[in-house]
Amino acid sequence: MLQLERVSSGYGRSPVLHEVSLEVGAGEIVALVGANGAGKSTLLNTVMGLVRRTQGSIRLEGRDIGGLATPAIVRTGLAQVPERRQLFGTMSVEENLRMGAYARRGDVAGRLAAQYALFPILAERRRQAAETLSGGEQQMLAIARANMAAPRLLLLDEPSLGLAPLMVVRIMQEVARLRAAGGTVLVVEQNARAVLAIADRGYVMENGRITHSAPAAALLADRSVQDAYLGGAGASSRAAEARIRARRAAILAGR
Amino acid sequence: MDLSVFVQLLLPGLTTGCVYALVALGFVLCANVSGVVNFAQGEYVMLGGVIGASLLAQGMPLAAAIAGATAAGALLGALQERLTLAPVRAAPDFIQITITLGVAVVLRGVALIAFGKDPLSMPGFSGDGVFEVAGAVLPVQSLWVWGASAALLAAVFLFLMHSDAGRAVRACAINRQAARLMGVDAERLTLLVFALAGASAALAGVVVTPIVLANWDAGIAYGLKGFVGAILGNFRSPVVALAGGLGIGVLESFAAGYVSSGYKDAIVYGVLLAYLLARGGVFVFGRAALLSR
Amino acid sequence: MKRRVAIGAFLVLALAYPLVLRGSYPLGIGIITGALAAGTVGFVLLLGYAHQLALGQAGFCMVGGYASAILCVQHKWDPLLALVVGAVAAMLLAWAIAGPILKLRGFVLAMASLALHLILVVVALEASFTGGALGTYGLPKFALLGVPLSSDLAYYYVVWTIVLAFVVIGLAIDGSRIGRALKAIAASETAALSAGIDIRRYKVQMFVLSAGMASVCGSLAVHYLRAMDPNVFGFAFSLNFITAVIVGGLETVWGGVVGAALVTGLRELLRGLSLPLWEGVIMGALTVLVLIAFRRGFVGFLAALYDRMAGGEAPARVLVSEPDTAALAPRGKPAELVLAGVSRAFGNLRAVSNVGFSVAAGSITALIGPNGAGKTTLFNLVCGYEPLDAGSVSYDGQRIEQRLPNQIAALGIGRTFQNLQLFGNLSVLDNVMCGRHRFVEREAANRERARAALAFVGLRNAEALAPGALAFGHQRLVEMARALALEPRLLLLDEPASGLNDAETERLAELVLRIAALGVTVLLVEHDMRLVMGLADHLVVMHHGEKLADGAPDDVRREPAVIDAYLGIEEHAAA
Repeated sequence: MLQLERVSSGYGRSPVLHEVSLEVGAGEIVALVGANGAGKSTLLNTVMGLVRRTQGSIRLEGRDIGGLATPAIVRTGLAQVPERRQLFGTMSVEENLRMGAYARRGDVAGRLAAQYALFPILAERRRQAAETLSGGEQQMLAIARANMAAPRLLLLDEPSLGLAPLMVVRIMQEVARLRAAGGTVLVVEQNARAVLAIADRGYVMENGRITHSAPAAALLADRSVQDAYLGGAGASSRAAEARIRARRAAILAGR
Repeated sequence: MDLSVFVQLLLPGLTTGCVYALVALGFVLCANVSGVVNFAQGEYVMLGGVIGASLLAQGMPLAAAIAGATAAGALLGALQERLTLAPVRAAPDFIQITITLGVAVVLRGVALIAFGKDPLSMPGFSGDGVFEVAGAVLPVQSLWVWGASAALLAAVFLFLMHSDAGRAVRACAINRQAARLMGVDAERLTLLVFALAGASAALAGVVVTPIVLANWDAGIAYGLKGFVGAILGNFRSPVVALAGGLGIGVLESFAAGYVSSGYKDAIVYGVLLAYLLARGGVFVFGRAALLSR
Repeated sequence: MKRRVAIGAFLVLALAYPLVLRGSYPLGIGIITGALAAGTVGFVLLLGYAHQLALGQAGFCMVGGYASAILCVQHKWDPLLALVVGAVAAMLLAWAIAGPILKLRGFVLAMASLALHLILVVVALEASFTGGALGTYGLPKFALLGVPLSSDLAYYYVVWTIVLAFVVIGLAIDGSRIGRALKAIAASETAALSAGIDIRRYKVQMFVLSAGMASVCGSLAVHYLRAMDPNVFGFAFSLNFITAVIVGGLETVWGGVVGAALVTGLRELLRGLSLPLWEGVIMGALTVLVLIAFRRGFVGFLAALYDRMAGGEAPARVLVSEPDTAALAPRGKPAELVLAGVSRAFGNLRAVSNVGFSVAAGSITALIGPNGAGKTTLFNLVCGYEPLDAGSVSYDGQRIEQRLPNQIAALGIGRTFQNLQLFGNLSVLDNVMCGRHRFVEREAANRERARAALAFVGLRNAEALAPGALAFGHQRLVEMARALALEPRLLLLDEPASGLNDAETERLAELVLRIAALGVTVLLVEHDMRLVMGLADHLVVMHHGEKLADGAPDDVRREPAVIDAYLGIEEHAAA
């Protein structure tokens, strides 16, 4: 469904992604894991047109969407649940949901009912300001808001961020349910264990590059995933660390 | 205190206060959606007045003159945004603000050339009669000002609270990036809001003209007094901005009636200055002010 | 060189003008231009340098105008003395309102100064001591030390001598650390604070100075007009100030002089064409046009022309020099940083809660943690950019948690930013010289120190360039050099490797080690584990705003709690 081929992008003169290739098939949950600063969010923002792609192609069902502006990308059927949720805090739950359907109107009432059925707690709080919800409820609202655009592919950015462990599990279960209902999800997550438990496949990102890709279960057992967070994944990385340590010994010994 | 004198001051104060309130609302809307404090806001009130009055003087029916002035406000507001602000969206704040000031000067200048130095007048919409409330005598036109302001405010609030575009304006003000992710085209909304602010200020300018006359250099005073309302609400709350605008109108009227009509502006501006000094002064010993930018 | 040409041209034009264009009309224009220029030179410092828009500058002209009129006519004072008293009064008034108001957001000063001006207009109209609406008539001719200036020509030269004096003051500020600080403030207040620059102080200074110069402008004008009334310095006069400096050019004080001439000339031209009503439209349109299309103004245009004619040197091809590790000598002792019980909440979110650790003197300590752990907030708390809710921060035993960011920097705590914060309007060398702000030394000495810092990071050849002309990685080095120029005893690096490629990252590691060897304690927030694990003596791990662990890198990376924090807890384990 979504294909990225050798995509590079960055902010101004600072490159973040280096020739990233990645694919999401229809009906899949694909996880992109890695430490913060690895470039995961930048990848999602590049897909959404918020960060400028400098090279490579981004295709949604064969159509190149890499040059489109964000509103046009939303209309092609992509919706993002942004990092830290980015709700419209002083607006009500229902208004937040209606905003989700802004670019793809149509059966708004039907979609609202569907989201309320999916997340009954949101129906209960429909008149409350979004900022008064708990962290987990806010994350559900953020997901429901993105669903209001009836997306073909949902992009989730760090859904576990700032949530208590139990709530992380809840949210991951919700993501699994979305797929069960026929959705396709690309989820960026630092919490690798939680997300790989529900994903079909996973990619590991380090310093702006994809370093591993494998079925989720295989990645979960792979020690190199841990290394991607705390250093030492890959020979070149280990060599670089060793060189820096050697220089450190040499320079600091002399002082 | 004599009640009839009090009412005789309060109600006209509310009348001009309606205009300030609408200007304040325009300030808040434009500032929230574009990040710019539009110093030309008051000029649209002036333009509404002079355009409406001269259209009427040229024999247009009253309704057409009002509609024409309002449309001119909308058009000029949109033009200001597109021609002078859209090209410099990434420029430092002080550049953008100074540009709105330059636009204000141009608008004043155009009014001066097109409509002349002399104040223009307009007959009351339903005659120049008066009515009496609690011993106070008011022009019937006051009812038009109150009615039009209330209708306009209701329309703006309905728009903001219950339309997709209005909701998007609020969403943009809260979190522009997230609004973009929803597919909101912020550029188009900004244009819409400037047109809306221009139109509502111009309409306020027309309805108030039969009472206060329309003069090419009245824009600064409308702008500055509306600004007081906007800043009371910290450029965030439209409701506080409205209340502030009304309050300034009443304060001005009381200052003229109870103190001195010559000093009324000095008193209003003095209150503004004192408020700003006090607000700055609150933070003298903390670092909150420095960091709250 | 450029400056000498400018002063030469100024002297020739000012001296020759009344001799070439004879007659009382051109002479009058020359005097009015000079009076306006006296005010606009100060206004350039305020608007162009400090980026503060004041809409009511004519209010200070009124102070000067009325001081001269009232003191000279009613009290028979000496005109020069009255002028000075007026200027002092205007400066006191400016100081009284600027102190509190400049703490608020930018546009507030614009409105506050306009309100002040309009209040003064009302007072002038209503009060009796000003002569009310009719004003005060019959000002004497200007006098120098009791000797009246009998001819307008003599007055012309006095006015322009004053303008010259103001230009010299402006140029002196421009060439000093204050001028550089002002430009730094205009580019990035955050970074200016990190260089130890007291933002508010300089803004207030420029507001006060420009008010004094505006007052002199008022005094000079009314001695030519020989009368003062409330309409002389109306709102339109404030607008003249703004148009003049924008059209003239905001970059140097010459913009004020040239702008005053352009505005006065344009107005006279419109009067000559019998189009006086068009003044507002044309002035306003010019202002808008210049701000949109050519922000450097007329003087900026001339400067660009001069540079092209002088055949500006092509920038050096090889930008990176070999880092000169001997350029900076070890000095002072590294400092220790101790945090205890530091907390900060934003609404319901406890961004940092009860965090305590110490950064040993001379160590390289890395602060790591998953996204949203509170690392950047903690940095901002240490540097004073955020107020603490609770806890203490000690720098070498000295409590610093109540201090402002610039005060903290001035103690010798340097920092860099995750999102580069360079001063795009200053050369690379001047960027680094801003780091020297806390050392009140001769410019030459400061320049040498700044050059040494640049050589140390390997940017010897980039001094004259604008930072924007450098590659991203080199811009990071400029920021490091600026922090080093502060002669820090503690250096905080916020994600220094983000945006760098592999080779640059290793060069950065080498540089950090060299900095530590100078006797600087280093605390860095970083995601690149090659750097963190390779460089650090000590790691502090944060998670959910709390300190999770600290210790030696190899111990910390094996700690199960740390691994769980990064990778999360498996579903079945938690459920």
